[in-house]
Amino acid sequence: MTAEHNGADALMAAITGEPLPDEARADAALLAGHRAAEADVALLRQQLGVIGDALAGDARPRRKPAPAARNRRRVRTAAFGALAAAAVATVLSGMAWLVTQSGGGAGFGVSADKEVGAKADTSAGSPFADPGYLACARLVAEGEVTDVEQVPGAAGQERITLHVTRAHKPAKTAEEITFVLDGSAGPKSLHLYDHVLVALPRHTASPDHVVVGDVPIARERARIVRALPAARELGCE
Amino acid sequence: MLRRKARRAQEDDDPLDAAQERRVRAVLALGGVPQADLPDGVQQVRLRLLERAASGREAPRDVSAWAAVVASNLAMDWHRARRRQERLGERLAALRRQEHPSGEDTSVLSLAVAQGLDELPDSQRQVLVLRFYADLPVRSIADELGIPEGTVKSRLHTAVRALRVRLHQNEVV
Repeated sequence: MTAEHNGADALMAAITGEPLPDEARADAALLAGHRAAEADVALLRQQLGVIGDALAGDARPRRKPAPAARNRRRVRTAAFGALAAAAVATVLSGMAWLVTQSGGGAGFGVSADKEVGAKADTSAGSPFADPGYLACARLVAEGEVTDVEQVPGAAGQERITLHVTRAHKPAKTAEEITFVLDGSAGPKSLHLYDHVLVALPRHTASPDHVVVGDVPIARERARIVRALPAARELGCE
Repeated sequence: MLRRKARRAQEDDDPLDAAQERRVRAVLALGGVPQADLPDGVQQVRLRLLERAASGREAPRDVSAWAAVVASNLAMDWHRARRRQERLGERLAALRRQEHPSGEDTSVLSLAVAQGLDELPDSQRQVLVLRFYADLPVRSIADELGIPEGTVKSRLHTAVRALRVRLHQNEVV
């Protein structure tokens, strides 16, 4: 279960998030073990979020409200955590989420000017223009899809491996990242060699925004570049 | 009007914001603290934060991380003092039955992970929750819990390996 190369442990690297040494990366078996471990760790991280929120009686939606056309069965399965709560509470917490996303939450500690700017950008419709959103994102990166696997036991979920070509936040990431796509973030599935931009919020292993295609990504990249400096000044929460 | 002002003043004085409170509740719940005791646990964390401020000590640099560690320690104390904990798998299944009595949409994966957490020793589950729910780096966990970094790594490694074996054996993943 655990691949090793001269003391380099694939599972431990996935747990700590540290990159594998170059020498170890040349070992195909270890690299494959590392990818599998990263995928499992990503899944575990996601499930802890789902279980924690469900057991805490937390009605907060874990990602932005779904578009109306979304497949309902997939949504119900993916949003397990939110099912533990009453519908009214969901609506209220959804409103709280929207307030936070618009930069209006007191926790961000931004100036009035920045708040107005953030709201104006957000009103353009892209979360990537919102410094508040970027400040709370764990990872924002572009890359090419190198592997797509169905997640057994979790209908409609895909485990995606992405070769990172540009990391926006943090500025440096592992060359390859793995995440679980549950269809709630935009596309219901990705294909090998797709060029994608993904954003993962804190405490989750699934992106809440996925953009596919060179032109839309270029548009979002410009927004990210503009908003990132302000995002760095903000704290999340 | 006065009552509203008083409530607002009370909210302003709350050392935990709503997001931090949610996180504390989740860390307590993942640590096995029963649902009925979660509000008490959250109050304990608040109290410790206020006591810290009252004693003149500097506020934690990252209140969320600090609160998660305190909550995880409270969950450990809870087990020691009361010798009981809630089985996460059972509670999760009960929640599902309330929401979907027909059993439709049961997430096999979530239940399997919850049952796997139930089987872990408390010390392993604590670092697992801090690493993968609270998103704390290994070094911070070691510093906060006052244990060597190697111990944190070894507990994480053992815990994740056990969960992987369990999930793969059951063909959940």
